[in-house]
Amino acid sequence: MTAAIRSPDSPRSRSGRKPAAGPAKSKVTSIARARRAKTGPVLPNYSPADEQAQARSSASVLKVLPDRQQQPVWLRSLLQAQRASSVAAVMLLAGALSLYGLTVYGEQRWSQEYQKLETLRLREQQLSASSEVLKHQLAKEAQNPETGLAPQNPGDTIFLQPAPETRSPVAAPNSEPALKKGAGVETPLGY
Amino acid sequence: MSYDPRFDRYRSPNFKRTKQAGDSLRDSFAARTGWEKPAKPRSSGSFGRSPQQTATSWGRPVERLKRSKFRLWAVWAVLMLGGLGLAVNLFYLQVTRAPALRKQAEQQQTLKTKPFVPRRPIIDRAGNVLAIDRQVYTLYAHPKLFNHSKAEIAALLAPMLAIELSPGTTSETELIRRFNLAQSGITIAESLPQEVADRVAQMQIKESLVDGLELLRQQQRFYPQQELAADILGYVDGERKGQAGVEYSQQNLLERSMPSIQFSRSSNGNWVPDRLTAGFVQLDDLKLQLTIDSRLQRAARTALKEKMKQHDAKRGTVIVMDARNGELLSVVAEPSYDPNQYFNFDLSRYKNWAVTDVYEPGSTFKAINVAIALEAGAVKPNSVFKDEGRIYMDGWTIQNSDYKVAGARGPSTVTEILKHSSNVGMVHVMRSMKASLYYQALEKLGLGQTAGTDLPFEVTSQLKNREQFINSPVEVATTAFGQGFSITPMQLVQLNGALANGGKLVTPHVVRGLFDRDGEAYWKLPRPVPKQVFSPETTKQVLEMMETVVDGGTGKAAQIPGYRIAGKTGTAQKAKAGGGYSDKAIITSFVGIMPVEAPRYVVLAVIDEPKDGSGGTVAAPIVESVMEALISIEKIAPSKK
Repeated sequence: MTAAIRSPDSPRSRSGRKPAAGPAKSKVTSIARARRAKTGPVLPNYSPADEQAQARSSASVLKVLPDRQQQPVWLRSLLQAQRASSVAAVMLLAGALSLYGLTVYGEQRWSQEYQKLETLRLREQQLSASSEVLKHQLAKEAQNPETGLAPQNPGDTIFLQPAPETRSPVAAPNSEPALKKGAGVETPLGY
Repeated sequence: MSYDPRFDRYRSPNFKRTKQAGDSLRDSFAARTGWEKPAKPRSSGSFGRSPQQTATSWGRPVERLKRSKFRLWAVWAVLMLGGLGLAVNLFYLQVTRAPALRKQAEQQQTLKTKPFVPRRPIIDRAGNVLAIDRQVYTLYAHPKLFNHSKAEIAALLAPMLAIELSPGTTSETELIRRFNLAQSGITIAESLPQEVADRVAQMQIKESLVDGLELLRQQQRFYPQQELAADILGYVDGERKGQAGVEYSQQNLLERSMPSIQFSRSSNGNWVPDRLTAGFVQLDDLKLQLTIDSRLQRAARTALKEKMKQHDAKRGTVIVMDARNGELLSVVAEPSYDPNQYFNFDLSRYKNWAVTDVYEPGSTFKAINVAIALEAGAVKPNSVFKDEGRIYMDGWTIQNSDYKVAGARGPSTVTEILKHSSNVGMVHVMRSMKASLYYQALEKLGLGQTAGTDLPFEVTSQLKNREQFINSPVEVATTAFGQGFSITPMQLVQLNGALANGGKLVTPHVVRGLFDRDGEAYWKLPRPVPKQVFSPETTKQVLEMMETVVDGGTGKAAQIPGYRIAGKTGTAQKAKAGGGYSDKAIITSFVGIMPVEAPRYVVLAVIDEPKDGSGGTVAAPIVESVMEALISIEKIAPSKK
């Protein structure tokens, strides 16, 4: 940043250029020179009145502003590099921050979800255990003759013989879905 | 506007410097910083006001420059010293103390644990849960952390817990007594279920939570059906190791393997896994399925318990096997225990005596003997042998159990011998084949070995050695009616299974394999290929003979109207510990096979030391009620009118 505000007639940059006109001849003086002149060694007979007068005269001095066009190539390239690196740094910083945020968020989510999973597993266990306990209780109670329940006895059971499968033409309209089902493997209809 | 070199800026012409104000500002600054000692003469300081200097006030900027240079140096020195100090500390922390600090941080921020992984549940053939893990809590009290009075806490806690009481105390006083035992770490209750633990955790007195109570979570094996299948399942001890039954024998199938994971504490204080191992979150949903049918098991246990009580028997067992593949539908041994509270029972109950104890099978083995003789071609079903009722052999008397009633039966066919369970007849039948061949056949059936079940601690059956057996005719004679050797009830079922399935020696087993949620088999226990020991013709003939036992012989009690049932009773004298046979102690048994037209199920009941009765009166009714339950469960249609 200091490079940008340094006046072009600083000792280093001035050396490569045409020397400016002497202060006696021209009214054009650089600020730096004026400044140097004023901050020079303080003379013993220096008085505030003198200084005020001199300051008044130098108020009309025309100051030369730095010329962008005349910046050397190396400086410009450095400036550009600096600008580019700033942009990159800002982007990297943003990326790093968001990555960090995501990591923290992910961790948080993970532990929340994991706790949820654990709870669900616990519930599953509890549910299956309770349902089995219930079954056991019911079976135990059923053994009590007062409940009026009796074990299944083959003597009280009616076994039905499955009716033999008959293919009657009356059943043909109902067998349409069956035909459709079998169409894939059987010969095509219409033959 | 003029340029003021002191300030390096322009200022308006009417600006007048007021010394007084500037000095007071400086003084206040000096007082604030303490850089300038008030005792020193002011003239020696950089802010001094000597008369000359007042006159030539423009000499001061030089001093000021020096002064600001000094200040710059001072600030630089302070900063550098500070930086150096920081660097030294950094070196001390990062290099010198680094290992110790790193260790400390690791200790505080990481947690290496083996996650609580429940054992796989065990289910029956219908999917009913027989064993499952559940969370239980142990309640500890730390009275020094109590923020309420002990009496208040005890009053609130007492109704939630079931506390064993000594006479003359209420649960409240008992709790207070325990609170006074120590300052901290008192165990108040163990195995608290989740619901109670939740209530204890949310317990409040005057709207403030109770401090000083600690609930510690642990996993416990829970058997919802209590003792129903205890003989098969076994139990899991406090260290989560199976100690009996399937819990012991299938430990590797039931335990889920899980590597230990390292947790680290995240910024918000939660524990997050450091390195996730595959399969950490996805617990498999596999369950160990057994071939047991809970309903049949219940029916068998009820029937067995009832008969044992009726005859004041010492112990009993019922085994139901599907002879086609060796699946055991039910294995009941009494007396049993509740695996949820295994510690309250005698150690001897943990074993399943159907596989761990041998007994002399007696007449139930006669059917096997007949099959051996038929298979060897020594006899035919209608071969006739003379039944004298009592014979003498090598100084031993062998007589029929009903000799006093029936006397000598005279000429009898093999079928009749089996029907009436004639000992003498059996001796003649088995002596009609060579002793060495008989011995060979017994060995082929697996006598002297185990049945090979997947239940633990199975013992081998005991058979006399070859020389003794061949050279002593009385050995052959006693073996002919099922004494003089001993087998486990399980092996007897296996042998009868061979009669039921056309002569194949299947392996009785209770474990079907690991099945997932959808009932897909993940892993199945490998089974040996069944060995053919009898021809199907032989088994058919023997089954028909056994059917006469139930229809009109000693096993009438096992009849079920409408069904063809084959069976054989057995009443054996028990061998005494010191040798010889006991006069009173008997072991009664009955083996039934049904249905005869398509034999599939083998049901064996053995009752040890009933006070009275025989195989036909004690064991056969048990088999009958188990078969009735089996008919209902398996929906077997009647075949007889």
